[in-house]
Amino acid sequence: MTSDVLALRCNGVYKRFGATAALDGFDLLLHKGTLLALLGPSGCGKTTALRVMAGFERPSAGSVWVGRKRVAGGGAWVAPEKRSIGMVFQDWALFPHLDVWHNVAFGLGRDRDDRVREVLAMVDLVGLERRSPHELSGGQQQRVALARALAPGPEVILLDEPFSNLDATLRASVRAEVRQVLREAGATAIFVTHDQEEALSMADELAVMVAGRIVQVGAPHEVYGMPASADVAALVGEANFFRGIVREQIALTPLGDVPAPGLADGPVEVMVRPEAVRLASDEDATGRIVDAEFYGHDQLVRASLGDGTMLEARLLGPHPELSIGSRVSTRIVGGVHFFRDGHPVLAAADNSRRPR
Amino acid sequence: MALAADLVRGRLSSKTGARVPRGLLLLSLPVAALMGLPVTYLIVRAAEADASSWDLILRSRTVLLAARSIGLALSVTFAAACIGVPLAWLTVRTDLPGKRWWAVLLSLPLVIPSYVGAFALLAAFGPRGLLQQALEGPFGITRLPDISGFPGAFISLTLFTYPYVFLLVAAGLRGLDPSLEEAARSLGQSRWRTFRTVTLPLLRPSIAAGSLLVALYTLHDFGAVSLMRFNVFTQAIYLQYKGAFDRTPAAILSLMLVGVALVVLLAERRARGRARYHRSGAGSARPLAPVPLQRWKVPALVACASLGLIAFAGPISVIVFWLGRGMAAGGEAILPWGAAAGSVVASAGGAALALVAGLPIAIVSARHPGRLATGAEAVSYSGYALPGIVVALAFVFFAANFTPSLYQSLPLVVIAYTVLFLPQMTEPLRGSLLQVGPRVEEAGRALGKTRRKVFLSVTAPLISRGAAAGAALVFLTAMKELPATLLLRPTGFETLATRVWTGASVGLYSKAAGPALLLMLICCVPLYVLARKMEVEQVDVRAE
Repeated sequence: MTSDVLALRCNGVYKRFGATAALDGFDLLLHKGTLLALLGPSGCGKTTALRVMAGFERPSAGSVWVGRKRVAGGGAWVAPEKRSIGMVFQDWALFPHLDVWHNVAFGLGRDRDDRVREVLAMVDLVGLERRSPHELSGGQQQRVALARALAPGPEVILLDEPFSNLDATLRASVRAEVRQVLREAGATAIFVTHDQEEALSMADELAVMVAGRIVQVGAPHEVYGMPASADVAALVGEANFFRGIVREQIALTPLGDVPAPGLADGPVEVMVRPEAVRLASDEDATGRIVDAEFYGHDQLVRASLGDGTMLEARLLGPHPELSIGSRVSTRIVGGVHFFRDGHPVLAAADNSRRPR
Repeated sequence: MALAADLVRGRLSSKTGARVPRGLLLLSLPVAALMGLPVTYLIVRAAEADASSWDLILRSRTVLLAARSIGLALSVTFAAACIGVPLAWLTVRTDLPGKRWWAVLLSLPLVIPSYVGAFALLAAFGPRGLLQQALEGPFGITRLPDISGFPGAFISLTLFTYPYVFLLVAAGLRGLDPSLEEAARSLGQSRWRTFRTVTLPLLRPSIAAGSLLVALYTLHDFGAVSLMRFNVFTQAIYLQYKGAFDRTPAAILSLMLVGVALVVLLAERRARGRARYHRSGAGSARPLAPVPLQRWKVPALVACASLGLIAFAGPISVIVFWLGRGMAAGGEAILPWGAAAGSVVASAGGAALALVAGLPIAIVSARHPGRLATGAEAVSYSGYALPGIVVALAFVFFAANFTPSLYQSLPLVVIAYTVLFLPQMTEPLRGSLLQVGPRVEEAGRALGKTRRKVFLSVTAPLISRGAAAGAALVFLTAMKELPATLLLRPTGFETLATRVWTGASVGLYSKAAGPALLLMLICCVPLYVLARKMEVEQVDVRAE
């Protein structure tokens, strides 16, 4: 779906509110047909970025382009209603005085009935046209908001924390629906979230934002597999961090010795994903299981190593022998990442190590 | 009646199945009886009327009376909305310089009772008013075009009631979910179209609520129309009562006026619409960026300044001028402290009694949803439909016939205030009860406290702000009340309102000036309490 044509571009955007900078050199390229997730901790400026793109905030500096048209910066200013950017608000902002049909038709001109019908069919709301927003369930309201934003056929759709108002049980199914609808409509969209699972599972492209700027962009598996910093590694997916010391291209870590080819001697930060850790029952080992969360398809087990280091391991299937308090040995079966001063210095693909 | 039958069978319970506490019932019933008394009594009197009284009423003059009343109410309401809505938008949504100050200044006309406003208007532009006197010297002009009649009544009522629309719409605007307007913009609508298709429809409940207050105020007004000699229902009732020995025609006219007020109330309920507008989600609301006025800034400032001048500074200056003239002429007690004390005592009594009477009604309607609650709401709401002159008349008849000891006594004045202004007490009380919610009370009960202890230690402190607002509102309105005070007061008992009236109705402007100023000064105290409450809560008062 993704093409080379740019749908939206932000170039060095700054936005200050008094002394605080919500956007601090924000750059983003969005290609046509892409579904991009903007992931970041709360307060990192994600929502401000969306509002600058939509035209509800003026950037303090920098430019925004929609297609080939500059809509903000460099003396240009295009009002929000002329940007061809649709928005799905966090609280959905459905017009309470209009029914579903008129909410969806709101952004359309005359002779719009066919389009309204088409969009309502797309989000599976046929039959609910005459309902008021307050007569709908949360998931239905979400779909009305999406239909309303899609109806005028905007260049880009922005979704601000679109699932945060839904029950956890609803969220997964609504997420899949929304992605399906956006795909079918061939829409170009950015959605803001602080939920890494949401970002990883929904997006074609993932942009990680920290403190007002984007620190890494890429396909979800790339960002997950090759985090550009310790911050990103912690934000995207679960991560175990340890302190290690490199001596003669071997890193000494609480998990054992790990080859670190090409790394200079000195302290290093080591990151291992929980799914890259294996645990085995071993009466003589120093590790001890302190906690386990069972999820059915897998489980997250927390172990305390001999020196007090805590380690999380994600294990497939049931492991009745790993009860709380039992002794375990550890083994690394996946990638190990090395960081110095928060920057990646080495990512080793596989490090099957001897048990310790 | 069904209510009474339920009561007899002991069936009254709320929807939740919990019985309404008997103490609460015992407290609410006398209040309901008191509220129902005026209309019941008038109906009884009207039913006794013989053919000649009905002839008197059914003459074409009465139709004209109704047409004038309704016409005045409609035109004043329309004009007040035309001033109040744009003003609310200017002071809430734009970058108007000093908009907070304008909001305060332009709601101040609320402390000017319509009869004081009318009196100031006459004292400036009427016969022997300032303008005519100023023109007499150089130009020998002894007569000006008459402003009394419809124009005078229309101007004075509009200028001193538009703040009702202004305040309610401003509160409504502040309560709107800002992302709704942003959603409209992102869907390609211009600012103006967004205002027309989203903001204005969403403000409909606030506009309707404000217009209702203005329309009822105008229908009920006695002072301004009398001073302007514009013959509407209230004035006709008063003249009928004063002039005729037989009071039945006055009772019939009163019932007709109540009927018109009821129609207005029902119309507002319809206009408000069935849809309950509220925020659809729990998203964090961020304030909207103010709309830049740009080249409209100066015209907007000029408009605000002119309105402040006409509706507040002007009347006050005219009154101060006449006060100065009266002092220079060495008239007797220019500032009537005795009458001020009378006003304060009667109004404070009204506020206190309204609190006692309103609390059980508010608790039933907020905490025990069901048939009884609907009844309680209707009872308190009915106060809106009762004009002061009508309640006064009913109490005069009733007291003279059944309780002579109350006839022309201060307690009767206080009771009449309570009947008239009960809704102004129950609504803020009910609002704060709903805000507190029953859960915290249940938490108190679960911790082993009795219902009464929970009320005193949990509920009462939490609703005290609502109670203060209600009391301030009743006090403010009672201070300004004229017709009921005029008819029911004990012989020799003066309030500031009656002093203004006796001076202004015979054209002695310098005699009316002192009490008028004192009245407005005292009214600023409850207004301050109310303004503080609005600042704290910023919630829509009536539009739920």
